[in-house]
Amino acid sequence: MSQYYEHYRKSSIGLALIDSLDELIQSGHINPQLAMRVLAQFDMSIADALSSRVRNRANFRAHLDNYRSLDDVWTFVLSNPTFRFEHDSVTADKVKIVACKARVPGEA
Amino acid sequence: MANSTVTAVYRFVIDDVITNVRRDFEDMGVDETIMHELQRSWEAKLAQSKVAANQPSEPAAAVESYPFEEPAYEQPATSSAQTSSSASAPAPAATSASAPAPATSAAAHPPTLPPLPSLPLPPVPVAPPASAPAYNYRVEQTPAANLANSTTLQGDHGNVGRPQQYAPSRGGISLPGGGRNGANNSNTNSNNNNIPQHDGPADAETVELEMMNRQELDAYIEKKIQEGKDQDGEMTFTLTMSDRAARKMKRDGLGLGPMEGFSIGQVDGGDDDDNNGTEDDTGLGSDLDDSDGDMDEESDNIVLCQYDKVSRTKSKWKCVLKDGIMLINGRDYLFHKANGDFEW
Repeated sequence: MSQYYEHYRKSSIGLALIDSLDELIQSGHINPQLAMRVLAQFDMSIADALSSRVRNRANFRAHLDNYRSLDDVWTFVLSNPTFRFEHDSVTADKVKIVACKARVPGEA
Repeated sequence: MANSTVTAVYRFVIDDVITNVRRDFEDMGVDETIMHELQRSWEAKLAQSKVAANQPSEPAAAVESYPFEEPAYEQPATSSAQTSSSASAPAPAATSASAPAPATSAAAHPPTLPPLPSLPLPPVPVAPPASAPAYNYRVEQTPAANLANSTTLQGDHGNVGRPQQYAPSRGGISLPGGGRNGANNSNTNSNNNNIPQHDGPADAETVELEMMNRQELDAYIEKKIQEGKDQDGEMTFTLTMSDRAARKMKRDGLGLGPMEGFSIGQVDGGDDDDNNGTEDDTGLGSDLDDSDGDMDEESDNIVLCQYDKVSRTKSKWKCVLKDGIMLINGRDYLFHKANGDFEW
């Protein structure tokens, strides 16, 4: 279980799952252990989905406001990033990137 | 295209998770209906966040290429923006979408529908209801701002209800109140006037502040700050000023701007702003501390991913990222690989 990153839980789909699990715990339908199992499964499924089902490439440029590397986790705070995908591009004023060291899903 | 991928991938993840936790549910003796409830709730929440909603320009194409994904996401997401989806979606896809997702769409509809019919319901006497509230605020606000420094202000100190000042626009004012709650018009009116403009309760000292428009307020605040810096005796008063200002600016979504250092010190002492820049990386404490300002500044835009390589030459950074989920401007994007160039 532990060889999958958990940071994708902070994505929209992960947070939605956490919310739902919370509600079920609150209402007494499931216990926290089961919720943790579900989240662990989510870690696996999302890693698998991202590595095998997503083919999009992106490029982006930005001004780097702040950076940090700690325990193999890079954090960047960018201002005025422009993300270019194959067919469209997106801009924002600020974006935070949290990047864990790349690993093949399932390998330690 | 990016977004239709998002929908498909999320569909896969949800199905994959649900399939694989079935065993865990059984082991723990939890009924399968709970698991389905989890799935339903998960999908509903995801749909509610609208992150996977398709761009307005390409809903039709997405519906065609991912017919199976649509029920879970598109139906609830577009239910609040019915016009675009129902207009552009092909008829067969639309019907197939509405059939299998009654639960989610039913859940999504009640919140959106009631407000709409309730607006025209109350008998609004004067003007067309739809555009009236927005318009009337302007009407009120202008006299309020213009009269800020004039004689009516003193009249306000004495009178609770500001009758003279607002008498001319009275007919207009009653509309927003009437639209919401016809009964206690006159009482809520004065409140309604205040709340959208400035901070709530008008204590005697601050009445004139509440009557100022933003530029005037800003100028006043800056003046006060200058005075507060010069003389210590003025400080206590300045404190309340900046507190008010900070709240107001926060609510308006404005940066703190020129008075940044000042108001941060006063309003929320915990924020150590001195710790930005390179100091973050040299100070061990601030590295481990979650509360250092710049890094953890809450931003809605976040990219969660993995890195293959991060390199730097002078102030130019290059990084190769993979397997990312990006939430940008309320919308999710996924990438398999991304190259980033930053300048520090």
